[in-house]
Amino acid sequence: MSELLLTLLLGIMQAGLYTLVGLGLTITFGVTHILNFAHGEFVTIGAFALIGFSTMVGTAAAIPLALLVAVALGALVYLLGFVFTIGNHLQGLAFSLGLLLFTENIFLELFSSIPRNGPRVDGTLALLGGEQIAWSRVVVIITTAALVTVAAIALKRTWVGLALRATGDDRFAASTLGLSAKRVGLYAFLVAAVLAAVAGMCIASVSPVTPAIGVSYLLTGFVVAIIGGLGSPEGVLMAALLLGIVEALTSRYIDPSMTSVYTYSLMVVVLLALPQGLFNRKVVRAG
Amino acid sequence: MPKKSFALASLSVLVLGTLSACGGGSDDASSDGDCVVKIGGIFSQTGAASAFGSDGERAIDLAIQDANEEGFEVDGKSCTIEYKATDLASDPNNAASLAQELITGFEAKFIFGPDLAAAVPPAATAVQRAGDVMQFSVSTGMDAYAGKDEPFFRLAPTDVKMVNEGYIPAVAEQLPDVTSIAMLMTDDDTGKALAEGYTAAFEEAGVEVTQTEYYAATTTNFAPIVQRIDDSAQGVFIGYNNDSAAAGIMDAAAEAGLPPVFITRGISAQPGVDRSDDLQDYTWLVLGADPLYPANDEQQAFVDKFSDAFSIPDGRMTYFPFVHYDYVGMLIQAMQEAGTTTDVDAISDALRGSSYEGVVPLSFDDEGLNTSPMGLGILRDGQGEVITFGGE
Repeated sequence: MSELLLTLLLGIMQAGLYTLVGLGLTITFGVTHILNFAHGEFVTIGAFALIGFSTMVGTAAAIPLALLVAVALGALVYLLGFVFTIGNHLQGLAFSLGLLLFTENIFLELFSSIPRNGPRVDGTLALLGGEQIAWSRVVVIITTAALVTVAAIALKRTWVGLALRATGDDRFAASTLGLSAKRVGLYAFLVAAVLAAVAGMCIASVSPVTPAIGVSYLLTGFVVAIIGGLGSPEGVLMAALLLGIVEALTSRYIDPSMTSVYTYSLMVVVLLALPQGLFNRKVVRAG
Repeated sequence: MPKKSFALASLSVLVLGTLSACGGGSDDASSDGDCVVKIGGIFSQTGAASAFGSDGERAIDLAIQDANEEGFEVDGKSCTIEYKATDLASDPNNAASLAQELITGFEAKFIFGPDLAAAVPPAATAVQRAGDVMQFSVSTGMDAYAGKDEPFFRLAPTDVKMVNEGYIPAVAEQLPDVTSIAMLMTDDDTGKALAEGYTAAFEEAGVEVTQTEYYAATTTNFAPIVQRIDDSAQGVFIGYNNDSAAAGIMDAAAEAGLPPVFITRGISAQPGVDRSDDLQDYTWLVLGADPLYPANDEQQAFVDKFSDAFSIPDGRMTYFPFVHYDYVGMLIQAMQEAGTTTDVDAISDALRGSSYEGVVPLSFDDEGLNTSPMGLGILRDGQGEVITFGGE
């Protein structure tokens, strides 16, 4: 029983990370209709900024500094690149792919592919039945749950959230009310960068990271965004929970070599039954 | 500037930047001697395998620079080496086209690499089709080609000789208290093919492999996988992946309360060194020598020289330079003995049964199989050492 509880907690932790990455993807897509393949690089930025700053100024100061770096770079890539591709899906896709290759190789050059660990919370928490879970993982579960809750409330209750949702629903109608699609796009990219950077920091605090970490989470981020319904934060949360728990349970109790088979089978089944994803708010236009 | 034009211009800059960052360009040495030897390299300079691949490429580059600086003669002619490096980008799918580019475009007679097992067959096929090209690779994939009277040479002994008959018995001898282990292997052809032989070798050495778990090579979440390991295992064997995966497995195993005993294959000393305070025993296979634990002053001088040449931070050089650098000198020695830089068959014959004393000792038997000594690296109570075996 305790073993099952531990497995579920590990799945929930992973789901939290997938949610943060998937939320960023779905928010930027919802607002700008850009499938940002470079989004995973903000996971890498968050992880390596935390690792770098924490050795210089300590963990407490490193967290806001790492977020600041992610926000600054998020603004930079949007204002220098993505903003000019709004309305042209192909250009946006090509730009994001180029940016992904460029940044991944820059990061490899800067940091090499030697695995690095971020700061960790020492010790373990005893679960009922004798199993132990590392406090670092508990902190990640709490952090991701809190951030997802804050993001959900902010999307519903704040002006920025309203702007993001309104522009996502109907860019033209939103613009007639004074919401500039380009400015709202900037908000979307900044929110996405923060969410991804927090995911990166969380990952670095529980497992070794290399510059390739962003790409591996990007793929799962896309899967949860697609299963959830592109543009739907609630869908992302549900899909991430489903995926994280399925992944953990199958790895633990069935066959770890088949995890990706289960994951992608799940995506296929959901899309066959619900072609727009679990919670799609509207039919999104492709191409 | 119109916005669309600006976006296109930005994209062009990015694409150009990416191409240059990918390191797809060539690194040509001068060619002002009487004869020019063309060597090509296929290494992962970018991507997940680049920590090793880059060091392999740099080692060949440095060896060629040193050979050109020192100068050498073959059959009375002063020779220089031209070198072209290509980037495998950690993707075996690139191997065939890169090998073809080196053979037909650059006209390379000698190819070093690829550095990934799955990338060797496509490159070797291109070499076989050319008919007059020689290939060297450190990878396990070369076992299918070396020692068969063809110009293929592996820069390390076969896996059976090196691991099953060398490393595993040496590990069992060094860790007499470890009598049962769990084995974690990647879920691919190489992992599956090797697991069976490794299990038999451990059994023969008196160590029971209680379970073998295969996992997707791209996995980063090891906690649920490590949970599967039975409490009775006294150690974990981590085979064939990269340092990042090994580090992830070790951290997850520590969290799960498994005994901190790790036996690795295809992993460097680094994950163990980074966690040495929390480990009981950590072993790794040393090909040639280990930069963290050099056996003599000459090896230390090479580590310093290599690190300086490529601005590598302390402790971050892999062992790959030790299994690549000297083979350029050994190839030159074979060309001199054969009296030719172009007759690949004659040079292959000269390599077979030869030995070379470089930074590390190298040798091939009469069939062309590598018989160079290898080492068992072991970290115990925070202290590391390398125990040499083989080399007959």
